[in-house]
Amino acid sequence: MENTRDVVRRFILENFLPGEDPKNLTDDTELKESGILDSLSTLKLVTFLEEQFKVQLEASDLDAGNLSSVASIANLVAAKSGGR
Amino acid sequence: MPALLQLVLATLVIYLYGIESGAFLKIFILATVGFAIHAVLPMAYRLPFFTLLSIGGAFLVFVPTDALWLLVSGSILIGLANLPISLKARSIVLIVVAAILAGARAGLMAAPWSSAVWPILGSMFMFRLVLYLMAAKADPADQRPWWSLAYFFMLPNLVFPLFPVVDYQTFRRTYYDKDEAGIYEVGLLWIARGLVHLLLYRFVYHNLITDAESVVTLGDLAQFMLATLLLYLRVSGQFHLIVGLLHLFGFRLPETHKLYLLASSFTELWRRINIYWTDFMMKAVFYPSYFRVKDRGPKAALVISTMIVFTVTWLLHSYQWFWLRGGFPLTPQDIVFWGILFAFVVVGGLRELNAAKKPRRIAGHQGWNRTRGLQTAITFTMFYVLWSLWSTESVNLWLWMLGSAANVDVKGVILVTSCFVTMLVLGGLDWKASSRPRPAWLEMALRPTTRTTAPLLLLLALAQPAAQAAVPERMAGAIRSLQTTGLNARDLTLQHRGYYEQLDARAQLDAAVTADGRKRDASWQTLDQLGVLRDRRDLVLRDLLPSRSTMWNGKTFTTNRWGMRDQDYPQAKPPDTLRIAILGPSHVMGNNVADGVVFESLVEKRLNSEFTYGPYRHFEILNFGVDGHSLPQQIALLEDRVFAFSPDVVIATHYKDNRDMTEGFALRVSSQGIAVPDQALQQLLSGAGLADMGYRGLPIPYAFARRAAGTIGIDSRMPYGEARSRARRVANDILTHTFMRFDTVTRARGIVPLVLALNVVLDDVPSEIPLRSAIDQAGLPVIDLFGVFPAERRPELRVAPWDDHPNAEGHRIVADALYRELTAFLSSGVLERAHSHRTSN
Repeated sequence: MENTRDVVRRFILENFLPGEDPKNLTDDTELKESGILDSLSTLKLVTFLEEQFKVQLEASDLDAGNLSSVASIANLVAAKSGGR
Repeated sequence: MPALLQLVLATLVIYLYGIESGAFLKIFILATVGFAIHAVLPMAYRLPFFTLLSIGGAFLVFVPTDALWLLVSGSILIGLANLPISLKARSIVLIVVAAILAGARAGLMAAPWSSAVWPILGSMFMFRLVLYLMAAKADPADQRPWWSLAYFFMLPNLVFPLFPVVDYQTFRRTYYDKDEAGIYEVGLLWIARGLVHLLLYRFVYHNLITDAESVVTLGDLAQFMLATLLLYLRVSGQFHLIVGLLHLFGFRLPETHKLYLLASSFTELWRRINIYWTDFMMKAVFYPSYFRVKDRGPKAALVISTMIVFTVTWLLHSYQWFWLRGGFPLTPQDIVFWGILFAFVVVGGLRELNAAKKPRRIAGHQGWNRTRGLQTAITFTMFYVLWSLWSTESVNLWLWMLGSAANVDVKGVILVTSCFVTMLVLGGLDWKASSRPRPAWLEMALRPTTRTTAPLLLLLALAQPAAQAAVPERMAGAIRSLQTTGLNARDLTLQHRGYYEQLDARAQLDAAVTADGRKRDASWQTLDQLGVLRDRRDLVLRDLLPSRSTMWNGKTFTTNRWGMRDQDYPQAKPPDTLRIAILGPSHVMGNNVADGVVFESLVEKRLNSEFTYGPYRHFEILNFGVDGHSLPQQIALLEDRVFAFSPDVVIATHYKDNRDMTEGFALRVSSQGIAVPDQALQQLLSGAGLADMGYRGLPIPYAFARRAAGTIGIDSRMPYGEARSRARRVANDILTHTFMRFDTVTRARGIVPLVLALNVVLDDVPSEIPLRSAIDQAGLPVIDLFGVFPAERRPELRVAPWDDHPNAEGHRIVADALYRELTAFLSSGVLERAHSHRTSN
């Protein structure tokens, strides 16, 4: 079964990096600095996270630190879902 | 060690090119020394060290009392932001304090510090306090004292009022989060890049900038638009320097600009140009707005939040202006600029939202992409057209200027085509291509150390006089312009520039003016304040009131019964007298020198005591000079008054700014509907479209649009920018015509005309007399005194550091030269020839 990181990674690869070699997207790849996540893709990601993991995100959760990598996104989801 | 060496090289570049201000050099040297110590300190001491270095830097930049006020008031604000009360209560307290400070900034109450503190204090707190409070909300335990002090009193902020909006959480999160050698390497690279940007800016500023009013052809238009866009290099240069310096102390902040000229859409451009601002808007405005309205669906939420972002951005630019410069400008072109940009960005955003998955790469080579290249070229073209709107004085002037595109010329075709093709090629490249194998030499050349050191060494080499002597003069001139720290010619006449120019460059240039001691004394009186001038409803426009005697900035100023700034003369020429009448502007009238020391008076005395010429026993020089007189006004005065005094010789004065003054003359004559008896002059004004200038009604550019407005009952007039542009286009023709008329009206009366080419005490004296060919064509003799003031003595020959008129010693120098030239001229037999011509007629 896929864990949160795998789900997030798959979503990013499919939606923002089609055709990219999955090996290039590690848990620590900088998503904002490398231009993968911009304001609009952030909104798409938020919608996905809320629907997929049944969490409620707020504007203040969208700090670059929370969305800087696959790992940090997974941490945010974990925090929002109370460690589920 | 290599890092320190690179910093020393950068310091030398800053010193040799006079980058920014003297204060910046001090701060940069402090940062270099500070870096050498900071890099070897244990990690625990580094943040306090940086903070103390920044605090110490304040005393290098400001006088001690101002430095103390800056630090104390800043610390109070930080203290208030950390009060042990609720975040909401803290926010209210800070808003109240900010309102009090705003009152002081607006001059409603006195501040205990000098005006130099406001821009820096404002820059440190106007946006960062918001981000600091937002961070406090996210993590209340995050605001430790050293971090807070380091965040607000960042060392580079002491010399750069226009500062990137650094996010507090990013500031903290990225602190030494990677290998420190790598952080320093990037910082040094950005410092070198920033210096290159600032020097490119300087090249543009001194060599390419033109006025909107001077734009006539497509080439002029393309140059204006490109140059005004490239002025933004100053902002990107400063931001690179700022963030580069912060890297040296471990703050691995992200890039502030990212290949913004190569953006392939406005949405992308918005994300890449001033990234910190975009992030600030995203965090403080866009996301909160979006989350509030996201129930309305993603498209509606996107449009609403983007609209809010652009409205806030527009208002915050004026808010920023308020703290940095005072005033709160809200101009129509701001509304149009931000409105159009919003439309482009929101359309791009909606397209992205609907678009199929967009291929991107983390790294790798995708090759040249035609579509992306085309999109980049189109975006760039549209952006530089739009940017020019923001950099033009008014929407009407911008619309008028756009009409010049119809005058296609070779320069325009080359500029527009080459820009488009360049952006097409560069925009189509994959700038992330890093995985492709490269030759060893290219790998070497692209290493950050090489990219930092090579431009610094090249700049140092170019700064050497020997290198400049070895290259062609044109290139040497371009290099010298990089080392020129003063204002360009147009800014010397206080022309309008873009938002950032006005906000930053102008503020710093004002400071430079003060530093040079060229700021006007508040008690200094202008002639208009003396009550000795009167306006006239004819082509003379203004003259001196007769029989006035007053003191002007401590000097006697007297007019005779005929309204001349001179001793009294009878109107009828006495027998055996050679009478010379001189016409001219302020430096002929004798601004800010006492009666009797004006050069014409000195020459007259000397002629009477030393010169013997033909049958004449006496020599008179009647001074008809009037402050502000252009050549057409001089000739109008000649015909109105001077002939009645029966002069034998008439001297008209030509000077560097005669064209600008003639432009003003044409505007005033046209706008006031003054009768123009000279048919040829009337035709010139009509041909330039100035005859129907009007002065009431709605300003509408272009005659056809005004006519169209008239047909539907709208009363309209020509906008002032269009009128200025039309006047500028015809000014040289008016001057050429006036030279001809001067020759005609004098010779018809057997009077000898003479042109005196004389300026005030200028630093940038033109190498040639403007319109010399027109003067020669009119057959007018010229006495050329353009080089009369020796370059090394110019500062001591001015009436005041802020006033370029010659002082008494300057007038003595002019008198010596004019006496020499005039006596030679008279001795050449011109009067005899004129008299024989008159007799034969």
